[in-house]
Amino acid sequence: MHIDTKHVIAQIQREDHDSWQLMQSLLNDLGGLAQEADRLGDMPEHLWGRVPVGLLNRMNLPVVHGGLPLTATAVRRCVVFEQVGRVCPGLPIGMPGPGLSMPPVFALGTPEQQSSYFARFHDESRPVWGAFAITEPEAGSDATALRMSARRDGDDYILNGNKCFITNGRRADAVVVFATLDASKGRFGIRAFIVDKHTPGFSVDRCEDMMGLRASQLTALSFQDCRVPASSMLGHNGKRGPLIDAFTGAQSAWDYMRPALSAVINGSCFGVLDAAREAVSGKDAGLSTLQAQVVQRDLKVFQARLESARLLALRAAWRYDQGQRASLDASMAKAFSSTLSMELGQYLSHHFALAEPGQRARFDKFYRDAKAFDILEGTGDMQRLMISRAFDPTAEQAA
Amino acid sequence: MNMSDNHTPVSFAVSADMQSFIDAAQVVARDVDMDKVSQRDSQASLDHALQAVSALQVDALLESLGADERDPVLLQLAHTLGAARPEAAWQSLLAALERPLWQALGEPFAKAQTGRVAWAVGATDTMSDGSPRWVVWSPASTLTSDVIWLLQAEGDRMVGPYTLADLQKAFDVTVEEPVMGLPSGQALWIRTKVATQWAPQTGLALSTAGMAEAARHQHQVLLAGLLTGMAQRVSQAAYAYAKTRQSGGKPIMQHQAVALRLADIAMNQQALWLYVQACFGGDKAGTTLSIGHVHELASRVTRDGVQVAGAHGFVEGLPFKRLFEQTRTVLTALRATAAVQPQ
Repeated sequence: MHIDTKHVIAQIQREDHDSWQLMQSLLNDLGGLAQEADRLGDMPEHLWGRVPVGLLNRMNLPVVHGGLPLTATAVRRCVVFEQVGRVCPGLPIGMPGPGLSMPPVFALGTPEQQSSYFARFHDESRPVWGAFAITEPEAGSDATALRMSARRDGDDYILNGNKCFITNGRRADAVVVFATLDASKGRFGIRAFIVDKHTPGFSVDRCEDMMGLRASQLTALSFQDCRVPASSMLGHNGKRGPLIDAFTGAQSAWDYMRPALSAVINGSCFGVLDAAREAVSGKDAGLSTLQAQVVQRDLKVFQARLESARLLALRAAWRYDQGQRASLDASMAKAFSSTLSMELGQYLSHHFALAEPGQRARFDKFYRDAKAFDILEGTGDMQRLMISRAFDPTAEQAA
Repeated sequence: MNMSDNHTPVSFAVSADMQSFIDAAQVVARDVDMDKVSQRDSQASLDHALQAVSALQVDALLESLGADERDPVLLQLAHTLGAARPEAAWQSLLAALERPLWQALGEPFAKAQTGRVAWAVGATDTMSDGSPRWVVWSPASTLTSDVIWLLQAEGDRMVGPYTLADLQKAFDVTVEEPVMGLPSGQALWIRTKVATQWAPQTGLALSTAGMAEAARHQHQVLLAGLLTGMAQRVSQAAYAYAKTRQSGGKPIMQHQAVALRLADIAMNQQALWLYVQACFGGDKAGTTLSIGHVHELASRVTRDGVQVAGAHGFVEGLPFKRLFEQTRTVLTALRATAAVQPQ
């Protein structure tokens, strides 16, 4: 095992100095923006005048399609997003770019589909979002049971159904939507389609009023006789093509994103731990000397737990970069980090209950945000079910 | 010698050099495995295990390695052997760690390398009444006939040698026998009778030239490796049990409550293993060991392991009871190593 994240940062600075500088300046601003974004439940509009949005749009693109060296590998994404998470976990999830829609397009799309889809994120004049829509009101964790239908009609498909809890769904220029050709075939009936936001029959019903991570909007989408060309089906040229297991594309999205999301969670925990350490000995903390000593000791243990969480995330990212199966490691990283964050949130909530409101605000926001971590992109329970099935304690990787 | 893949800044690959040490330890581990040998509680079985681990000649191996390579190799050996036979791994590897110390002290102490010399690893703490304490462990032999040295909690001095009878005259001595989870184990808890800083009235006071501190550190690495090995064994046993034990017409691992518990075992075991490697892996991670965190993870793994097997985990037979108790003892010993360098 060899971990040298400073070397990773040095590599990034060498290869992509401009993006690194942009990120650092953005981090300086994010603290103030985080409070505003939380209050608005949206990304502050004036943000786009302060940063080169072209770089943000391309942050999650594959390098061969104009992506940045800054986030070219999963390990780099872990390092970068941990830093962003330290300041605010909600903003990076709501940032422009293809987000979760990138991996299925990259994994399943034809060269033409990839070029066409990713080119829209080369726009340097405005923020451009993509979205990934698989969850339905009746099919959340069991995504293979989705009911949204895709019916062939000549050279088109007709989409009907509803999607919910879709991150950035209202802002997205296009959404990668999962639908079934035949529900009786389970995961093998599922296909993925690129649907443009202006397609007739596609509508954004509402944005949810969330408890935390409010800058990343969750939206409900509906598709009523939404006609899309067959060429928008990922991996399909509209006339013929291999049977494509689109669910594998969805899994690639989770494998891609979960290590980075874990890094965001870890970063937010590191950030709030720093704040707690600073607060604990101050007069505004509302703690006696003895209580402060106990809290300081406990914070050291939380810091060590975070080191474990960071290592799990880095290992998942390393496996992804190596082309190894990363689903198990990604689930472990996500479940461990999210459990830790909620326990840290509860701990700080209890021990800083009598702190001055101004000081408590950071902990209060973290308390709300942390609950989301155990739900989004697969609940902790579903991650654990996956882990229990996939983990082999006798395998070499378990040693 | 290359212990890790340094070609990329982040790598979880095991180097070929390290794999060769793991392979050697696995041969011994299979031979002495606590859950596979017959008559596992017999003295003959234990003696065989002690000999088998000693045959690895870990002291010579560590001496041949560079300073940065010793910790990761020792950790891997303790992990692999600890999964199979914790008390034999602890006893034999500890003796190997101490041996250079006795050799450096010269005659007559050098002769100790052929016998069993126990010494106080370090005071567990300077207690609130100001009286220093020591604890010395012997996982698989008798301390009552050994020679004891007391290592001062601060500084770099050992005082001794004492027999148990000597110690009992000068100190309050509690003999813990057997130690939880180790039928042949012993521990001596030693504290001054007068609540003041202790100054030796008898015996020799020897400077260890930093070697005692090095041995204490290596003992910490050894104990951490034992814990990760035992945690791995818990996860293996829990999965094996949950796949075969039936309830409601299907294996219990297909019941959601058990599946979630298995996942926690797997996750905490892996988190523990990665964390300890980062602390003692000899790379640039540079993490300082938090004994509180190690305690939390190791305890959760063994607790959940027992729970998976229910009452069968609580009684002798399956490995869960043994591992639950042994983990508690090794955690106590690990806590004792933190006295000189508090967490």
